[in-house]
Amino acid sequence: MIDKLSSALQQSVKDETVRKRFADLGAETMPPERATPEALRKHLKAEIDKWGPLIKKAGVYAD
Amino acid sequence: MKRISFVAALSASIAFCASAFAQQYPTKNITMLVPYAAGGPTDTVARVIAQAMGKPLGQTIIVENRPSAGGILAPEQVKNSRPDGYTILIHHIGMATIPWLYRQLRFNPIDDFEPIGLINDVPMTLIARPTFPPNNFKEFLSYIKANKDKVTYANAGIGAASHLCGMLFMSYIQTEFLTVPYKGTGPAMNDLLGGQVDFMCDQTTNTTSQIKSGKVKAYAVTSKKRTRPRARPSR
Repeated sequence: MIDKLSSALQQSVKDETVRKRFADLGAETMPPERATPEALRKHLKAEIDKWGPLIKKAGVYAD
Repeated sequence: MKRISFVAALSASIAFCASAFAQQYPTKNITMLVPYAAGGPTDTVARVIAQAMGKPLGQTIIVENRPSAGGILAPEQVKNSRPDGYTILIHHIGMATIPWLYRQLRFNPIDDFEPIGLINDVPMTLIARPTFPPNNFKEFLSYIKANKDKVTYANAGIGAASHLCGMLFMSYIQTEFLTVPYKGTGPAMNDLLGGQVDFMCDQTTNTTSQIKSGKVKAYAVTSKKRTRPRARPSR
């Protein structure tokens, strides 16, 4: 399941129409090698670790 | 142009469990939940990628919006949906900041989802009201440092990209400014255009049209290469 979804995503980020639509929005399309479960898992973990100290230091909560 | 090491990426995740019929998957439409309102930047990305992914999968991916404060409702619903691959989620940097901003969260961004992949990367832009005196990033930095008790920073509410970028920017230049929180990007941008608030850092997806039409001053973009022609510093 994940393989099928992920491979569909990798094909989609190579699609010229998709790349153009994202570029029009001012966004950069990920290369296929980052449109993978491993890349997302790694990225999400790194971002969670990065934002923790900053948000704690600012002392803000949304709830 | 200085690069601020901040990546606001849109990411897709999915609830998952091994299914006996996985080899036939997908045999029906897939639903993609969007944590934000229709017409916004995340919704637009969702609609583009859902349509493209549907082709190789041979099924339609239906986009459904579940707007809520902080974008916490959609992930919660995906977590509670049947882990059969027919309910997927699109989210952005919020997925990484939610666990720090919400103490009463009913899901874990890492443990409760099976990742699919990263979709795109949205650079952040540093913009100011059209009448703000500095004319380039260097002038901007010295001006806001010299006037740190007077200048005001707008953000679109707690957890919004503009809030996060502001926090990162202030920590990066080690200067604090008076922050004015708004309920969404629209009202924040309106006051910036009207000159009631001085500057803001927000995603290109929210700032591109104003920068292009010269309605705001733009000083910096966080992408590796300069975004053309949108984030050209205005005169």
